[in-house]
Amino acid sequence: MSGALSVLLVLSACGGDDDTDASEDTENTSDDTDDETAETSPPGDTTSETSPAEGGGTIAFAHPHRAGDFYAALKKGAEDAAAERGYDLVESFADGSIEAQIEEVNTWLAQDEVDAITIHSLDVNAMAPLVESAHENDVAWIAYATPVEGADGSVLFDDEQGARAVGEEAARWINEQLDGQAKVVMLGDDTIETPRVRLDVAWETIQEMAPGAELLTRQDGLLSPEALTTMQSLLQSDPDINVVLCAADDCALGVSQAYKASGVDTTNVFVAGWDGSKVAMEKVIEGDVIRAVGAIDLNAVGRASVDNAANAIEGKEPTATALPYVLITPDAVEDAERLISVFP
Amino acid sequence: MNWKLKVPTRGRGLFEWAQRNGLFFALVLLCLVFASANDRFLTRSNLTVILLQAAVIGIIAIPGAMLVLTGHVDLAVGSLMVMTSIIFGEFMARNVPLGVAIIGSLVVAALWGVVTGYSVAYIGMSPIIVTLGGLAGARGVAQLVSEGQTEYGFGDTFAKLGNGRILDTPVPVWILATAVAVGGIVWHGTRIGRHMTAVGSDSVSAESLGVRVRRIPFVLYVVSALAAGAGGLIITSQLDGSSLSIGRNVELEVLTAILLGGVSFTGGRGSLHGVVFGLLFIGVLSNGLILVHVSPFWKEIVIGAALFVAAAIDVVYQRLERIPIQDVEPEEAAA
Repeated sequence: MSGALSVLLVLSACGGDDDTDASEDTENTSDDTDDETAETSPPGDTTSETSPAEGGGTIAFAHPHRAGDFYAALKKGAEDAAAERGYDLVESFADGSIEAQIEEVNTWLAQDEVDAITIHSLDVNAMAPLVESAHENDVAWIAYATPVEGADGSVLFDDEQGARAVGEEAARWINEQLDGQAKVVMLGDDTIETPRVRLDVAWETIQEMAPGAELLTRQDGLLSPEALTTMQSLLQSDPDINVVLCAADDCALGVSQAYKASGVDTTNVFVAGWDGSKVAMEKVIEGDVIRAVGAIDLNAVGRASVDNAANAIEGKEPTATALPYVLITPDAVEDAERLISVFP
Repeated sequence: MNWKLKVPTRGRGLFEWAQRNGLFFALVLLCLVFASANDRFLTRSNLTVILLQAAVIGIIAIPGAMLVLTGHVDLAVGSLMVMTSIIFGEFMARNVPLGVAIIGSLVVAALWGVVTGYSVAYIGMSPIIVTLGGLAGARGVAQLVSEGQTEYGFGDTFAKLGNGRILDTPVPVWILATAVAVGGIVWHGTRIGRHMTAVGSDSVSAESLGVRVRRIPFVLYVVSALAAGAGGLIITSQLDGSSLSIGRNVELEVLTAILLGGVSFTGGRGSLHGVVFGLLFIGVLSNGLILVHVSPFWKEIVIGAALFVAAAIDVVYQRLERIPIQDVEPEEAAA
């Protein structure tokens, strides 16, 4: 379960970089960084044996979940930016465990291995003492996906905007294809903020625009294998479910396969996900039952994860970035192809 | 115990079976609860879905239960599933013929089982440590090979493995049925089955009696790895994609079915039909809770409580099993 959640969080991140195609959609927010993302000044004395500003140093990219094809695009963006900025890049292996993540950060700090850490925190509260330790060791802290108090910068994405976009598309489908009446199912993981926000806001939007929609149930199922079995069971109980909101693309892929195997007529079925995985976007274009994806430019996320860290080390701007979602539908082929093209 | 249960001679066999299979009655009770809550629960379609969803865990649990019976354990099965899936996907992405991709990926899984089995059975390394290493290592191999990318679209022929039907029954259910039949024969109908129990009970004594105490767990580790690989391919077929999300926590589900089914974790005791009941209990519970739309938060609690009750019922029946039975003639019983 935790693995599935991490997939969502990674995918939802979107980074901005002036050199990327996503720059039009990227909003650099260094000027209005709030308390949660802290000041954008470098953390303490950044001098070291090899000055990072002169092309040296190491940036740690700590993402606790790597299941899902989003990570390939994310990693490539981070690697490209690190190479361009002259930094070494080290990756996390926490695999969804908060204990492993804390141990990993402590190891980096104890061994004086890194100059900055861009981290998707599994537990924001548990990070506070680590942020202090990082600053004591002249290591910059960049919060990823979720703001962290005391951080030197951030790579955030607008989950509410992405959720509203998908919710509006679902409501449009309900009103136009289903005469305003729909049986809705939501699959995700309410113990994690990003998937919870996505589903909450999307459902609020549907209720506003298509009040005839009925929410049948909200179940766990963030990764495709779990989503597949959950949907298989749900279709036994309610074969006329016609709208499924999946808190992650991987979940949507499992739901899509469950519909195919069930033999149910999917002409009017609407399945949506978030993240912007290559497979999900390709299925939207192909005319699959996945009709919409709230996508982020994963390459841009990876780039921002490194660029913001490098900027924090070097005392440059920006160190904080907020990235929007792009709604991928069968009518948004160009956007889909652009986002798909960043995958290696 | 100085008293005996009086049972009519004619019903003794059934009574003794009932004494040994408390989980069966817990399973029946669970089915009755869900059937009363949702009129679609007992439809043929839904029961087929339950079997379909239990198939992969069951295919892996059968050799897994045999390993536990011998006093061993395989904690790497979930990671072997994803490794096999990813290797299959990489083969297909390179236009390797389907049959070669299937066999090639299964061979890799089997080789992993060979290394595990040899390390445990012949070198004497700890089964828990070796297979925990496999749990991390095999998933690491999958991540390395895939570089995080999902391959998908493997064609209609491969789709039949996970989604096809024979006599209106899903192919994975037939595979499970075959595995249960073969496993039942090996476990209860051959000398190998008795030797597995002997190895789990007292391997030193078993060896002194000529039992191959190393070869049996070695072979079982290879079969377990192959079963995990096959399970990985079935899920890959069902999803039409080789994803790193495959196989997470499967080792826990498999162990739950095995232990709930009454196989002793220290080896030497257990039955295959007990494992099947454990498997079905978990499958019915998962399906039923979704059908009645139980909140995910409550679901965890309900699952925990149901497993506790099932285990408690099983213990009660195990104690009943120790009560000696005295045959009585029908006339005497009637009196």
